[in-house]
Amino acid sequence: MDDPERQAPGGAETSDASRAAAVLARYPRREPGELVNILHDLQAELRYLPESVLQEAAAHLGLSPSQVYGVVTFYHGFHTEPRGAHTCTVCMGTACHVHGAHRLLEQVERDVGLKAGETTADLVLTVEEVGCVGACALGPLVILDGEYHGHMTGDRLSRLVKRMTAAEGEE
Amino acid sequence: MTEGRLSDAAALARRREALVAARDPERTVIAVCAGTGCRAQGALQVVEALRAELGAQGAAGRVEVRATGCLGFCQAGPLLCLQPGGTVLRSVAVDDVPKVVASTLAGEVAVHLLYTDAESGEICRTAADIPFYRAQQRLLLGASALLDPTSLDDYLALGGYAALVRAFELGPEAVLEEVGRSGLRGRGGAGFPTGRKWEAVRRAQGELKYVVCNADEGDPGAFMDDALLEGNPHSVLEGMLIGAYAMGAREGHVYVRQEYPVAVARITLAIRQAREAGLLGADILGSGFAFELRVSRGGGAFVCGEASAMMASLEGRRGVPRRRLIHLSERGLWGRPTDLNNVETWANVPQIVLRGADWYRAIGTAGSTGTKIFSLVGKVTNTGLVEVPMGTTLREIVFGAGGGVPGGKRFKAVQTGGPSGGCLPAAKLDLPVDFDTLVAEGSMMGSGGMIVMDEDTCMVDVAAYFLRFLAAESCGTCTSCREGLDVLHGLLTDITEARGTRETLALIEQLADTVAATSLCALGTSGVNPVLSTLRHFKDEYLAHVDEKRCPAGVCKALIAFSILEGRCTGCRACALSCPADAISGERRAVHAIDPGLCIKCGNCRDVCRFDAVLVS
Amino acid sequence: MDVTLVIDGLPVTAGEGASLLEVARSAGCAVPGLCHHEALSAIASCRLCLVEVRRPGHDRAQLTTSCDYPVSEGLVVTTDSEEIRRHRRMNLQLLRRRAPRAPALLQLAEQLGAGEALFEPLSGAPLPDCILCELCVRTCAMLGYNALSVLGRGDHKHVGAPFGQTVARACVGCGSCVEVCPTGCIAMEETATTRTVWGRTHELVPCGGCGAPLMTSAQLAATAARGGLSRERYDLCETCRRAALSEGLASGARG
Repeated sequence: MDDPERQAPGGAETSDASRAAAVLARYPRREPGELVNILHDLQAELRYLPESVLQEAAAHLGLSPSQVYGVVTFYHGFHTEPRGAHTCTVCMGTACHVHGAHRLLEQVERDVGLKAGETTADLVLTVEEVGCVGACALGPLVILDGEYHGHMTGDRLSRLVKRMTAAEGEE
Repeated sequence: MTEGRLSDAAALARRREALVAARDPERTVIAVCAGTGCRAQGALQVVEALRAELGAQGAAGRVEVRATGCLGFCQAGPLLCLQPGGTVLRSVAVDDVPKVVASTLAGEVAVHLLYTDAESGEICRTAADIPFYRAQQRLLLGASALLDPTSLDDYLALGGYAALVRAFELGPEAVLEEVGRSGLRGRGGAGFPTGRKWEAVRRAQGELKYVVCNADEGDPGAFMDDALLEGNPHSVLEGMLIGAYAMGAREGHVYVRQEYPVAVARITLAIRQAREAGLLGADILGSGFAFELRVSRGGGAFVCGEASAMMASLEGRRGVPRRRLIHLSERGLWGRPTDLNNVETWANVPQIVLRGADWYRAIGTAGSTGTKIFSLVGKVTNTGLVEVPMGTTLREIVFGAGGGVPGGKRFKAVQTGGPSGGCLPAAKLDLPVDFDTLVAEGSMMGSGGMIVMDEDTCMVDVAAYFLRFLAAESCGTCTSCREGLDVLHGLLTDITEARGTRETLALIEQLADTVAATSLCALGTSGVNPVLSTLRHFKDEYLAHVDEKRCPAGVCKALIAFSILEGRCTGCRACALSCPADAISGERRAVHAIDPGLCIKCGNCRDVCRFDAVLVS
Repeated sequence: MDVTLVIDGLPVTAGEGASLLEVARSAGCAVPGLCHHEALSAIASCRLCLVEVRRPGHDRAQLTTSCDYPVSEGLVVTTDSEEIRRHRRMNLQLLRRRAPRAPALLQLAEQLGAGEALFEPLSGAPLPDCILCELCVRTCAMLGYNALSVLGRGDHKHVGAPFGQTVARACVGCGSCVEVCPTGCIAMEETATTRTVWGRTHELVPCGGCGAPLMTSAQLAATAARGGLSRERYDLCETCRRAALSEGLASGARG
């Protein structure tokens, strides 16, 4: 009959599954209200949220996978695709905008050939924008691999991104 | 280190006494601002370097280096504040550390690192001398310099949790009365009287009630709540404890946006410390009152700053708001009576309880009591956090504490209230900032974001910016907001791209009217404020765009052209090398030229030119 | 408990807490609304069912959606006015950019005198002509299949199967989503023996009695599984089931 197919567990999936299980074990009360926190923890562990892991989370909390996936896609903090080894986040807050943040975003989009939210095909770099990170006095601000860089210019950003991703290429 | 459970108020008092006795008030402390802004400027490296240098000088035991939360003066970061004495050192780099340590150990001042007032030229030694700080009344932020935000002991030594003890002495009804009488109104933007909200929750039917701290702070350009949570998390915790006690709530949530990882860490640690000390859990300080608090992270959605959307998120659902025919105070989280207050609101509570409603009422105005923290950013000299009594004028904030507009540029507008607020022109600078005055002008005080704009800011572009933001953040449930804001963004983009007409302006007003009148929540109903306020106060600029296809501020790409001034160009080739479109040609040492057909107006050439030879017209 | 309210000048009695939209329509008022269904709780998505409500003790009426407004004693309601029509027309125009060809919207445009489309049709939406009323998702959830999800938010909000699939594994092809959809944007094709919806073709099981197409085999299996009884108990159409039942009763009565 039309039983929902379950994918046969492969090597990568098993390791994902066991890491996910370890995270879910930290939420023994299985409260649906914990879903967003759980998604954060799963993503911190696996760097993105593959389908198999979301199915596990749904089962753990007694929610339908549709519901869980709807929550995942609602919030911009969650990613269902693998992300780049490096991240370039351009702050698009009002103060940063007034200092020309959109030009920075355009610069890096041009340099790398991506639109904000996308990752290079070789999974080296993800470019994204964010609403505001609270460093408003330093606009325009860019976060490169977790490091905050204030008063950024297009030129400097090009160089820094190139340097950040070149390191990966050399490995 | 605070160890063990404090069983009652007397034990707390004894612990506090012991801590104070063990602290030498004359001991030298170098407080280093390690708020998000200063960390981005290398503050943590400065902290490390200071500790290493002190160690090398054998002085590690004599001088304490304390990494604090945000001290507010982001423009001058990394900022150091030396105790005793209060000397303030600005823009301290790792290279400056040996001199700082040497002068501190010698009892001298590193004069070259003192702040100089740009206008008067005077050298300022302490915060009281610095115009930025002098203009403020830092009831909430002032404590940040005096404590390590990861230390419960520091908070106790400064008098922390004495307000909670006082609350237990007063009893819940008296606490409600005091908070009500203080006139405290919600600092998240809506300005609802806090006492009245608490009262409603206390009176509501139901055994289980909740309190929530709204730390979503989604307004771009606002970071007051981040600073409070990073700098003094226990003050927020204590406020929530007092409120929960007064309302009869047993459980609470702190909802922090995920873009604030440090704030999440600080409040999580504070909660753990409080629990270990018996300040959370069962029978707190022997009062019989039990309260548990949890931290939840946002998922990345501005709409979750709206109370009912936040509760949906806390219930593990999509952050969709609901209409409130029944107040959240009666049916909120999980259908139970819930009080939701902003971080800054909670932070005000301990002082109100300890120092009394009359003391609080004396600050600010009759309708808006107390102080308000503003995030003063954008085209302003002194960017940072400014805490002033309610009723302070826009001019006093922007030109007083803020030091006016830098670079010799002309002030154009100040934007307040985030995406729900509006832009006010120079003519309105003498308006007092409080909950009610700005509303009549088409803006609002909001949560405290205050973005200064100058002659180089295009107000049509600003309106388009806010609508782009709002359209992406709309939860998408109701047609008016989901479609309306997107269409408005499209219409504004038309104007910035030379396709706008007078009809476009008429359609914007018509559509904005329906979005404001029929949207489900405030994201939609107030989302039209940026465009309506700019249309109201900056009509000329809109008319220039649609009638003359001209952008007076030189921002809208379709309406400007880049060219090189012959008289200034030295032929250094910097612009040609920076041009991503290969649109600039010229021989070395000869005047360069930009090909308008290739120019993509990215502005890189203007950034790199050291001779101010690039003209935008 | 019954309450009395006034709608367009006429007194109406209704159960307290009932949906004002449903009460108004029962009273004969033509209030438009595309995202409402009596079996589902209202989400007030389309913003067409606007009315003006004045509560007892208040001076002024408020513009509000009616589907999610519970009736109470003494309400004074206006279902049609210049202002109401103005906002209904604008919201309709906004919906038209999502579903420019939908008959329901074209009809409404005519009724409201909305004229031509004001805005360019939206392009690139994953499900063209969907007005995001969520009726399909809510219905599928109510039926317990949960094969549809509300995805994304803002101008990128859309409905569909989770995990980027065209159709969920859980979809049994019952076609309820197609039935409730106000714009007909979910494609469904049937032959004598198959039904194709969301791009998946299901086998249609014939009625054990008359042989007419009954339901998909997946739906039959799911129904049987839920009921805990064998398939044969469910594979009769309503007519044949009633016939079997009355036969059974008659034979029972005969002893």
